[in-house]
Amino acid sequence: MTGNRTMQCNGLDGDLLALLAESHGLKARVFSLLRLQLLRGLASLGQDGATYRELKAALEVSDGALYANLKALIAMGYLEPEKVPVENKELESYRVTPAGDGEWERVRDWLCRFCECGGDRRAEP
Amino acid sequence: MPNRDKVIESFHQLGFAPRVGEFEDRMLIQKCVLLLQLKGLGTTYPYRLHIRGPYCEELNLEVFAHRPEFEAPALRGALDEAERGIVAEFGETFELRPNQLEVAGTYAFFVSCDGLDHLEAHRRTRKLKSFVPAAQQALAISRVKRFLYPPSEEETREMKDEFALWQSASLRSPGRDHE
Repeated sequence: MTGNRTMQCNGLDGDLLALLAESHGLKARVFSLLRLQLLRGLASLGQDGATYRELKAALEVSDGALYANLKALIAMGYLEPEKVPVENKELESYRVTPAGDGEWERVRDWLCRFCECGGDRRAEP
Repeated sequence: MPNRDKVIESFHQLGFAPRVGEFEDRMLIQKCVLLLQLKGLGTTYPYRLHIRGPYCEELNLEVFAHRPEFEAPALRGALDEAERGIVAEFGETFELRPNQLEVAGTYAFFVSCDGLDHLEAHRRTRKLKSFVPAAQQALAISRVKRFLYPPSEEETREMKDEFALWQSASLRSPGRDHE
């Protein structure tokens, strides 16, 4: 029993080390909760994107936090702002750029594998 | 193809010729199709809840791929009489205004797709569309209830019984308004 667990742990440790090494290819500045939420939320909306007021209502964050993080993602080239008229008002809308889409795919793929790579205490006997 | 034909013919009946390049019109397309589909138009677009409410990526791709057809909607013989009736009722119930249809569509998605009760659907819609003024939200929800969830005869009778006292009281005091 103990032997099996040791062998399993060795295998997971090996995978984990490879995953950690792989993480150097990702942009650390993307890894904040709000930035990940923004990329995740906007990636599936393609060129339609979402307006500032929609993002604020869905994410329930302050204007300061939302604006600062949108600005950071725009500076990284991952989001693109656009002015759109809706019911005679000009609103700010944001959509993911192809570079942002690519980065989100890499981050998502890495996070999925990272979460599957052991470390789940609930699964231990 | 059957999906697209039905949608395009519906737009023709509604007199709605969307400018596909405009964000506002794409919002209208998304919510018109959702509400018509929930009413029984016979389309099968897979809507999911996104950061901005219910949204169908496949529909959006189709709209761009067949832009000229959507921008100049024409008759296609794709709707039967019942479906034309649905479109007519939609046109009588709603105005083609993004805020109204956004709220109505989101509320309908919560009730019909997520299976939430009306109270919880109302609460979540108000939160997700908190930027829409409360009066506009109330109007949109009232209209979508009339369109998709009309009260049964029994419910109407119960409501009449419940409000009978207030109604008779108001009829008995007509002079108050003139004081």
